[in-house]
Amino acid sequence: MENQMILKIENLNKNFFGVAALRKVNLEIPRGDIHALVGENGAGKSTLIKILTGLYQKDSGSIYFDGSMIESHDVLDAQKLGITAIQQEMNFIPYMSIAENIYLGREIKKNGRINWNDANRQARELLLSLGIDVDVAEKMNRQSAAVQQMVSLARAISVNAKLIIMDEPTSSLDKNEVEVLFKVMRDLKNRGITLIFITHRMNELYEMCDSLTVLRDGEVVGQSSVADITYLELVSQMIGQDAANIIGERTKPERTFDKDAVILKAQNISMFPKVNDMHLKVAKGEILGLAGLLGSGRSETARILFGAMQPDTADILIHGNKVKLNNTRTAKKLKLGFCTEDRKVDGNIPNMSVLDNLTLANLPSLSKFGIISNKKRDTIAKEYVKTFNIKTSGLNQKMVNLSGGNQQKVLLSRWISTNPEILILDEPTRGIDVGAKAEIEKFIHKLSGDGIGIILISSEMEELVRMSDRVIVIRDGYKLGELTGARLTVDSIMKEIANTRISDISDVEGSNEK
Amino acid sequence: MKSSNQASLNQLLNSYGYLFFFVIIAIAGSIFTPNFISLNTLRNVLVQMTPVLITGLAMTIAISSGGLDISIGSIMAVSSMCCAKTLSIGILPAIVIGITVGIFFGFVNGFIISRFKVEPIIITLATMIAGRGIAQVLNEGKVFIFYEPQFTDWAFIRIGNIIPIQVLVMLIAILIIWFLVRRTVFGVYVQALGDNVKAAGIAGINTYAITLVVYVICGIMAGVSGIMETSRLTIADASQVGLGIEMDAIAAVALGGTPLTGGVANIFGTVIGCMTIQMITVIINMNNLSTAYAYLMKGIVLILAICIQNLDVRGR
Amino acid sequence: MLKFLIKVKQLIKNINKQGPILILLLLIIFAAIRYDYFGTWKNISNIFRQVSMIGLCAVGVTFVIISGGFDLSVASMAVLSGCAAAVLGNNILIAIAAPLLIGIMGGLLNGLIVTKIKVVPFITTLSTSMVFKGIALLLTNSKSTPIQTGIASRFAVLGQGNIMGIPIPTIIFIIICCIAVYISRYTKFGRHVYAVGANESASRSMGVRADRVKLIVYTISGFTASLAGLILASRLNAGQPTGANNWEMNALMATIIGGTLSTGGVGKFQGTFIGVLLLGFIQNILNMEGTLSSWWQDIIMGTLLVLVIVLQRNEQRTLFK
Repeated sequence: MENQMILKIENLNKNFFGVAALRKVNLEIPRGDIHALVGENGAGKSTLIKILTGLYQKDSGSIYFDGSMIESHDVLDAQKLGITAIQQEMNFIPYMSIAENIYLGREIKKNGRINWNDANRQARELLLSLGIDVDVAEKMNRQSAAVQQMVSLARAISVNAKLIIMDEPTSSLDKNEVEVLFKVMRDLKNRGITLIFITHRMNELYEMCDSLTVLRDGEVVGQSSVADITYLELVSQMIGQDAANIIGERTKPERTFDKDAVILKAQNISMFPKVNDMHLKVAKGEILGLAGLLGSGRSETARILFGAMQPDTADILIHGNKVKLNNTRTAKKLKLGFCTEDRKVDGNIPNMSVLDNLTLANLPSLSKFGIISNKKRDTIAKEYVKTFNIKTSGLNQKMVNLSGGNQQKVLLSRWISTNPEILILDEPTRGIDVGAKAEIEKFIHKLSGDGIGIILISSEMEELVRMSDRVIVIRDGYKLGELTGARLTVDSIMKEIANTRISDISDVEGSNEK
Repeated sequence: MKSSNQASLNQLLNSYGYLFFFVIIAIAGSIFTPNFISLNTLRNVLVQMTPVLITGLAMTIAISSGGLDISIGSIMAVSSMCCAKTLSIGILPAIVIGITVGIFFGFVNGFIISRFKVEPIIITLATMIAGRGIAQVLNEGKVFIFYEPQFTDWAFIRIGNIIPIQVLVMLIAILIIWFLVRRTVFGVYVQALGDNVKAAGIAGINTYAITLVVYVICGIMAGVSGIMETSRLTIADASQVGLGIEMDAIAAVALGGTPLTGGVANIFGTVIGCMTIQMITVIINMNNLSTAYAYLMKGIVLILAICIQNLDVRGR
Repeated sequence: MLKFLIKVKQLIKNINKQGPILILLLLIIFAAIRYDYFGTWKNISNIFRQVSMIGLCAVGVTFVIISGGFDLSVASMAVLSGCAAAVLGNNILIAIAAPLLIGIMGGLLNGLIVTKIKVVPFITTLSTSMVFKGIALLLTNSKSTPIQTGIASRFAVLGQGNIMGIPIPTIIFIIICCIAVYISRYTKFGRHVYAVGANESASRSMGVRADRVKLIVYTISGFTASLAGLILASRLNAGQPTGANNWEMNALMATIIGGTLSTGGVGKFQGTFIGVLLLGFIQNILNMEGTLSSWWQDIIMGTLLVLVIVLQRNEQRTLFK
């Protein structure tokens, strides 16, 4: 019987240093489909892709591709089999030409030497067949993101790929470029190539894909054809909420704070393509939640507000005064604090002590003429260790040796100890055990009770609903709307994300006054 | 679990590897060399080690910040020549001038590295070449001989008739740098910068300013070292002062356990590393072996030290 | 009007890229006018003979830098090879083959340490430069050792001879340069060197064998360094353990001035050729000026290097927007 599935994975497992990245993954991809792979950050998508493309090796389980089982294979093997991936980050050689990037590793030769004329000619023909007209001798880094995508696709075709994995190909494209990309994808499908399409933009998924797989925490939680699943059901699967059983109860009592005591007011925040005309405000003691799926631009907004990223446009007012957040030092001076999304990347100073990490943002006030007062530093650190119940074998323990939850507590302490007026928290409870999570949430409450305005980003809708006074719903860098009071439920957030079409956003903008 | 034992062993080696080398070389030295363990030997090691130690301390800071400064030898030479030539004005002014020269070069290095984001190795390479040239040109390529007994006699002072003055200077330098690294805001910032530059930026550390100061410190210490050498040698020889000292300094830092990619500075390690390197030189000399062996040993020891460092790469 | 402005902008950008060549031309014109002796065949051929040695090192170093690495051991390798020729060279064959073999092995050693033990290139080649120097000193007992008398005259041809008036070292240099240009443009390996230097992880995922590429470039660098050392020994009629002063720095400078990016991925061997010539001509001009020659050369070179690097960085910045 003709093999309907081009890819069949059974019981795949992959661990990293004892932590399971993929657990008993079972999935099938019908041949010739455009198949969506969905899941939040850390769900295991990128690990799965790397195993398929040969960069990682599976620990156990079986992979059947095009009818035959794949044992351990490396990158070249994967290419030969017909599996290629188009990455989000720059996965090409910037200083080399388009043609060269297409043929790198399989250079076209004549008489023992590389034939540039042929290479250029073939590359140009290949791209033309996809509807792309470019000078293939130009360097890759001078091309727009869209062209770079096309070149990667062209390369995949030229290696006779049977399965092309596209990891968020539309994230840097404008509407027209996306249209062109989709046209090419349909063309590929006509040629019999199967595509795995990873995107966070649900409307794209529904427009282009035939079937989908949902990953969560390393496991497959759902597989179906796109026609058989509603958007709401899909979003529930992704974030683990049973749509039908949402209670939407707010476990914290209504708090009183002065809505008009606005500390931070931001308007016209734009940074193409990630953030589009964002606007928000935070009052003293208010917890403002930013809700949205991954890739919606919330973290970028946070970084812009802290001066860690420079936007195209921004009007930011603090206590009514216009400010220019050129760098993080200015932000600190204006009494802002920021806990970043990925502590491993830009939070932890891994080899320095807990003591150093905790007091890092606050050192000037703990020292005189540049000399640190060990007593003051120790006192403050000990205070926070006690308050937060930070488990460490001592203040001098290296940061990298702490568990994730305790690291996060240290980082929170770092910023709280600067006595900010506004605290931006990006995924403060990500990757943390339940106990630590509860402690941190309690502390965030206390902070807002003390009058600190908090901007909270979380991919856990329930947490946002529990913690926030008000939630802004964001998608693709656009603010869809605000929810507060009785309307603030997980259900309504998901509906907001699901139902609003991008084309409707301008209407939404108008109807949401601040 | 087996792997965690391996990891702990690696961490241990990483933290204390330098002592291991020191002890091995010391034992080897005493076995193969007569009179190795003697006051005279110790004195020789310590006096000759002075420039390497001072520049090694500077190098520790540079490397710990995530960078490198291979121009310190040349800065030594320029400072040495400037100081020697201005001794006629007065000893104190000459010293001040020498140090100012160091500050100037350090500033040039630091400015270009932080402002233009050029790789430290390349820029300090350029400064190294140009600097050596300037030092030579200042006295038309000739050795500068001067007579200033007040200045030169200083190098032969012995405290309590036993301890050379250089030891005092080294101790002061070690104390100052140790204090800078361990007890000041600047020290914490430098190490944070080298360990995770992104996190340092988010935490509000002014990476430009810190980088600038790091290289200025290197310049100052190179200047001090150059002036001291001039005093000891009673001549200013632009072709010899500080020649190749950056290699020894880097070797000492690497041996001492400060990660070459940047991060936590191990001052004590650098000091032990310096002594180890110097012991190699002394062993070679005392055994009347050709300097060839010194080269060989230093090269091999350096590679081994890095291998040990690479064993424990967690947290990078 | 707009088109005209665009053309002017392109011209200025191109001049920036052609910087080294322009400077070279200017220098040549300047020197030819100023010094009578400059334009003589004897002088020119001498310059070329002199630069060929560093030039050979520079070709190897360029390969390494394009691949994203560093090689500081070329000077010591050149010294080692010259000393090996003197000490081991009983007959002409061994005198030439042995050093070259040593160069290849030394390069392999560098490559292995970098790829297998994963030590950063800077420290690796720093250490091996000490080891090579040590071995050279041992071989020669730290003394300048003459080439063995039986073969000395034939050996001298390598460095001192001419073919049709052109110094043999120059012919070798030009041939090696041409080979390098060919490799870099028309061979799979050559292109992979650029790929690895530009984006190592991407190149790996595109199927490039990055470790093998690195291994080969260090071997090439060792080979060219040893070749240069042979020529030096041939000119001196001896193996000198203290020779090849600063060659690694000069080779590096020529490479970078010639337009190779210090971070890798970009570079032209023609550029290195020009850079080497530039170095040589500047030295020659300074020689003619007076006794300050070599030191002023260093100052100028150092400053030039700084300027080139800073300009490179600016261009890189606009390259990435």
